Amino acid sequence: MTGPTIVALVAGLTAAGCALAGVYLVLGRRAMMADAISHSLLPGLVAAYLLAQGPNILAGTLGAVAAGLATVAGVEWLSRGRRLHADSAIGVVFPFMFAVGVLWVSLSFSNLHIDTDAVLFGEIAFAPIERLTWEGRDFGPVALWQSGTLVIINALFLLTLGKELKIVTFDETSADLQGVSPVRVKWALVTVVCLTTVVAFSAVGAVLAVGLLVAPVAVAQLLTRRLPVLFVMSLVVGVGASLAGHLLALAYDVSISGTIAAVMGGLFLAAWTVAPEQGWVAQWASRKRQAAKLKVQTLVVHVAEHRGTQSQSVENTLEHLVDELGWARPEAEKAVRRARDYGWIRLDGPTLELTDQGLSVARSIL
Amino acid sequence: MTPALSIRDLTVTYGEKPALWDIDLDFEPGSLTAVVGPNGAGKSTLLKAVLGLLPKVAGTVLAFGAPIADSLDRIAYVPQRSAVDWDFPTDVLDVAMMGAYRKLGWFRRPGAAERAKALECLDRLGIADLSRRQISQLSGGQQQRVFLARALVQDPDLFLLDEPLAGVDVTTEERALDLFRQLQGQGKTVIVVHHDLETVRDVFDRAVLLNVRLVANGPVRDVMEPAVLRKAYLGGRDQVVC
Repeated sequence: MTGPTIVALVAGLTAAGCALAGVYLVLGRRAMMADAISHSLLPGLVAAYLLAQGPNILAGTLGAVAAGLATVAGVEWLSRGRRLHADSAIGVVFPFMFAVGVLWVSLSFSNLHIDTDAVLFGEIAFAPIERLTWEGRDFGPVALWQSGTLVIINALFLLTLGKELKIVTFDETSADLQGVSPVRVKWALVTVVCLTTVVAFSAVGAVLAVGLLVAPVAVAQLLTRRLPVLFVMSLVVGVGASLAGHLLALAYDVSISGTIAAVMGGLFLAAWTVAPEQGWVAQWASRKRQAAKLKVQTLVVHVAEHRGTQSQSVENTLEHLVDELGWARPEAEKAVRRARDYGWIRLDGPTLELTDQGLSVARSIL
Repeated sequence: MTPALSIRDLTVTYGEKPALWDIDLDFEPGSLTAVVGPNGAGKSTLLKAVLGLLPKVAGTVLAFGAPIADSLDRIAYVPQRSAVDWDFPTDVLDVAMMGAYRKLGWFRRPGAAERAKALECLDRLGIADLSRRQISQLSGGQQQRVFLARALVQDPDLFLLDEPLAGVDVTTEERALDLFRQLQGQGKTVIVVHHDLETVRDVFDRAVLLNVRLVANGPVRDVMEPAVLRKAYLGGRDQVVC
């Protein structure tokens, strides 16, 4: 395999693992937990480095997952009761964990250079270089094994705990009464998110790890309200953005993770604007339609109310709509034109008259 | 006969504020009871505390003679509609099938039997045609009927329903009240937190009147007396309401 192919595979697999883990994180409205976790891994990595007396993937992963779990436990504990909201607790805990990591590094490894850029952005371009070796044999890039295992673990997690995750996220109380302990399910999810963050972190860095977990799901949520479709779309968006970002980065010789994040942002903006039902354009058009419909209904009701009264010839004219209903003239004209198009109103000289159809519309409203 | 639900000396507080104070209640099997009382009387708290969802300061609760934790497979609870996230991306059938999760246990997924049961229960509430509708697109009344169907799927002997008729349409209300009577006919015990004093007299045979303390408990005609109601709603002050 060539270098770029390996990088593309690692990026795609990492994105797939993240998208799978991200769905219930976003649906449970705990997206920022990913941010806290990704910034708290450092002390765990340092501890593992010291314990294993050197870099060791397994120890590093376990240490980082432990640090992530400790962070979530800290946030949960602090935000219990009413003194501190969860978002403030996150803001307190993860900088503290990060600081512990930074200080520990500078105390224990004063001669070691820690690349802060690598912490924040990762360096996926190095993916082909680090090899997994056993007894002198080369088993291929470590990152490929890591990201591949991640996808398998996360898929198995969702397949086994699918119904439990669903009921706990939708209705925690009922889950509890149905014998599905929300606490256990949540911690299982948090553990999977920690593991996902650790793997994504080493490939694409702390910031993009969060992006890969949250953004594809956020895009998919704008496009569908069906859970199975949401999973598929999150996968497609995550993997698609990673591969597209990788190709673009190669073409323009820029940061791979930066480009992936930018593509993801672009996709989100596009979905937010033009998604069929929930996009800004669709929402705007639907509000416009609603407002126009309401105007015509108001007009029909008004005409019906004064129908057959003495004031009819005064009340039911275009002039009156402008004066008394407080509508601008073009607005009033438009409403009258619409009502005539619908066949609800006809003009008798200057007086607006309801048709039979218009009358039944007015009656159905009143 | 062993009561379907037996509550002794139940006291629950929110911080230092008493929510329920020394409640003693028995509910006979096959009874249909409305729990009424002013806002903040502890009606919802009563159901939650009975189910062990809230910590008790004191008291014991037995369902069919056994501790609640051992009887949960015989009890269905319908929370207030606002308690859940209706934007969650799933459909009506899926939510109804959640009533079968306890019987399924961990890891096992609902299959054809659960699906058939859920459809049958949705049909009983007249919404089988909505089974594939996303729950975010339901009206309040439809949401409530989904919740009632989910409780039926569980096939329990005791129903604890928290304000199932609050803010629903007339059809839903009629369907629900009809269902309560049917369930009673089948020997089920139904306890409903209720806000509409009008329908209490027509539908329920017993009423519990709460205002932090137990004000009255008995046949509907005895509890729904103006003098008794005044005691709960006005704290005994001699005023005429409405």
